[in-house]
Amino acid sequence: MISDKKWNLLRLARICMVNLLWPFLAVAQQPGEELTGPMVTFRPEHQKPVSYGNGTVEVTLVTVDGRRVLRIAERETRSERTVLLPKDMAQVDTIGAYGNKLVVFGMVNGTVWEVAVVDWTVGKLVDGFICYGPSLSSSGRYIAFIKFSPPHVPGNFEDHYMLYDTGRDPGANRPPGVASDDRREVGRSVFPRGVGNQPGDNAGVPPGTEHVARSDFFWVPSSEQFLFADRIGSSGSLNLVFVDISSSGNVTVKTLEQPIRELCREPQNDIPRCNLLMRKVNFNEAGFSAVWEVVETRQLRTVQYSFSQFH
Amino acid sequence: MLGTVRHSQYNYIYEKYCTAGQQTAYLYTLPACQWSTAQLKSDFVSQTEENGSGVTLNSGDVQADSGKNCNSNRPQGSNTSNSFVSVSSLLGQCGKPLVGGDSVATNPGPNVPGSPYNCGDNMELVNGNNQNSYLKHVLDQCSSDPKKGCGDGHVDDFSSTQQCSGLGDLPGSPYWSVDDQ
Repeated sequence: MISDKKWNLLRLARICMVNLLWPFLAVAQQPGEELTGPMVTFRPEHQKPVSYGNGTVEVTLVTVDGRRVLRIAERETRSERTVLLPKDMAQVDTIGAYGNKLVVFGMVNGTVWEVAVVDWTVGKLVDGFICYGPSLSSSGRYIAFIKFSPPHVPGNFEDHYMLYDTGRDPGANRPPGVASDDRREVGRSVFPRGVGNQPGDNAGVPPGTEHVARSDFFWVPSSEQFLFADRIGSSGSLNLVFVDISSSGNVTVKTLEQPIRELCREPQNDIPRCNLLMRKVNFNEAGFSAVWEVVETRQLRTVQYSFSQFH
Repeated sequence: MLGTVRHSQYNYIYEKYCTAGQQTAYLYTLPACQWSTAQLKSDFVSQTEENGSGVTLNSGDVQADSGKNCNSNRPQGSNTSNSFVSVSSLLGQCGKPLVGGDSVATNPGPNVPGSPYNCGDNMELVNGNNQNSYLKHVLDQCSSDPKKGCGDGHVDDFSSTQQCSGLGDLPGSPYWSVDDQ
């Protein structure tokens, strides 16, 4: 039993040691950031400048009376419109485009994202939804995301991987029977296989059987294909999931099982507890290389995969 | 030792600080599935859905609807965005009230089998400018999404700040962080 006084001394000594080592420790942790880019933050009081431009329009984010607003200028006519973004979008992170649609990714709090779709030709917000980790394809047409589940509430939720088509109207991006302005049951599910998109279908999953994302979405450059990693509970393997969207919008899903013991080889790594993330992917003609990170130890492993391994 | 990690913040939404007009909301109890209606401010409704938990002016504490429960007698007009579970108190995954500035949420959560975190674990935070240090405790679970949830090893810190929206990251974040069992 450690007395409070000894505990406080131990704590002070540890904090002093960490502070002395800080510059070196901080440098040692930078490889994680090199893999993922700058650490993502939620600081709505310090909104960073965000803009988008192509040959036709120039879009700038402005803040009016605390609300986020898009100022849209058509280059040819010099006409200008403003569009009020959803009231809960406290921070705007990116703006993309597909045809006459602008696709805005923002955050409502430290974990939940909101997506807004704006028709710039008429200056109108046409759709919006809340989700986790949205990612826009290189063409801007498709958004891959994780279906929303409320944070910090009981219910054992799992990750359902969804797809939104900005080329279709809001009703066509909702399942039958769901209102076209619904903010949660949005898009079509691509994984796990056989999962639809109904209220609560990602909740109440038996512990240990839930699908959990183990990577961001990685889009193949100049294509409508993307890759991500998924794990079921604390199982001994991960699924690499490759999604191919045809020009007609049909989706083909192929998977490859990656045993965790091959990535967590050190004796101290307990397989059920080994927390792996696929941090970086480099695509090539035959497949891709993936950089895996053991989160707790920051160990990195690079593995080469071939598309022919997927089924 | 967790290394340098982001510390986001979360909080309960308080209707008394919301400003929009009222709308009809649907409340139910568990496990009895007794439904009732309430008039709640619309910004409280959307913010509580997004942040998880809220404190109403006249209808007690509520939590966002998972959509999984009480569907057999769900009233006409109720959906996951306007419905809430009535709860007697707001608790973390460890079954205890959360303490502002002290409780943190992790992924995996402290009650998940195989999780490296346990209920009540000490978590020490030190920032690079030697200006801030905290001793906090693990009491809750955070989302598993690695991009914005805590699946990347980042930690969500509970705040008792009363307002009608979520909070920005903990000032000074990222912090060098240590979990002691």
